[in-house]
Amino acid sequence: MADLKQELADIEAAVDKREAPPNTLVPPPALGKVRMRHPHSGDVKDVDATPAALVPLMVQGYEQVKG
Amino acid sequence: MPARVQQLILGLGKGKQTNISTAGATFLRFKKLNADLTTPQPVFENDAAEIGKGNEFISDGGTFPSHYNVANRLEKYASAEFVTWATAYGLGNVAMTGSSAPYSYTITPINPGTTLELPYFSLVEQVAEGGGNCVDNLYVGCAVEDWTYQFNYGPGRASSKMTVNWAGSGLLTTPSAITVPALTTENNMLAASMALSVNGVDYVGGKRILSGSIGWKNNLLLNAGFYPGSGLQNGLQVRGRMEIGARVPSFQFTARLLSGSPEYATLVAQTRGSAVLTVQHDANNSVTFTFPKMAFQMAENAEADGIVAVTVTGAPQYDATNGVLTVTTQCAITGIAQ
Repeated sequence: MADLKQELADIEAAVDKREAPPNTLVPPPALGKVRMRHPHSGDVKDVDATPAALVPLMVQGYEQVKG
Repeated sequence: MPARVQQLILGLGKGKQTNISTAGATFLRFKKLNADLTTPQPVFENDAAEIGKGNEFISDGGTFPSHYNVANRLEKYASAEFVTWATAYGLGNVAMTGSSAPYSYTITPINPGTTLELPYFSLVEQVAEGGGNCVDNLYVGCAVEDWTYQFNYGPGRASSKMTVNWAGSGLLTTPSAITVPALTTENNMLAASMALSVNGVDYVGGKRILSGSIGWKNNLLLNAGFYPGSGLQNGLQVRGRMEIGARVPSFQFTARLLSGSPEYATLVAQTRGSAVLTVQHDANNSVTFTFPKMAFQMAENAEADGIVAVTVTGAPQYDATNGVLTVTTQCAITGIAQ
């Protein structure tokens, strides 16, 4: 039962993360960094604003978070 | 009073549409080389072939609205601004950085695991005539079918060109009610500025390169856009989506053939390496195409102006980390496909 509760909590957290607006109460990326977000998993990464850093994420489907 | 085709005002959507049916709000005005005006083509079918009506002709009133077809071609000298626009909408995943000009764009193909739809743009065509407009159409929900960057030996802007074929959803607003901004200041990139390295060979340093092309074709699933419920305009069906099909990157180049030229050996050994082509107007206006992994599919002996050459057709391969193609650009325009 405990495992099931934990699993439900994990699912709820994942759904919240996926549905959360990307900029809610999150500070902007540091200077020289670009915020990238995966549209399905909701995972957010701040990476250097260089093609070498951006391309591997973009290839996986990450998109730039605007604003 | 008729109008000249040079009067065409062509506005290409700068910012991407929020969805296929909502027109974009910002435009870039460009010149182009081909005289083709876009036609909003309503397609009607008829009952000529139907059996039981007495003859093989169309019956009185025997035509039926089907759908809208909208498509056209843009041929241009390659400027940093237009190549950025074309590759951003043609590949689809765009990251723009920089808080002031020049802005840097990193552009990769969309990942089909996250979406099958490219960013949609709006396109407006206006031709003034007799105090009004003989053409004034806003095409909403357009996507890039393919783009090709071509370079050639020879002087002038013709040494470096960009061609785009695009297709529309069929959604149309006439008159457009769009005020297109002034012509975009374009920074053309002559082939004379080019750097090209393929599989470890510097083709510019060796003065061997003559011509070539880099292309991308989305093979848009245009028929699948007419799905049940996709929508109607004037009783004719319009597309509610335009998804990518099996996409095809391409790369071909012709270089002078010298003793010891490695192309045939590279082909036979199926050696893989990167292919990187850069052209620029200046330090702030440039484009770089990068294929992380390129093998050769064909190497054919050829001739150019009486000089023996070799034409190589590349076989771009998918790299697990860096994908199949990246385009990085710099230009003074912010917000392309954003």
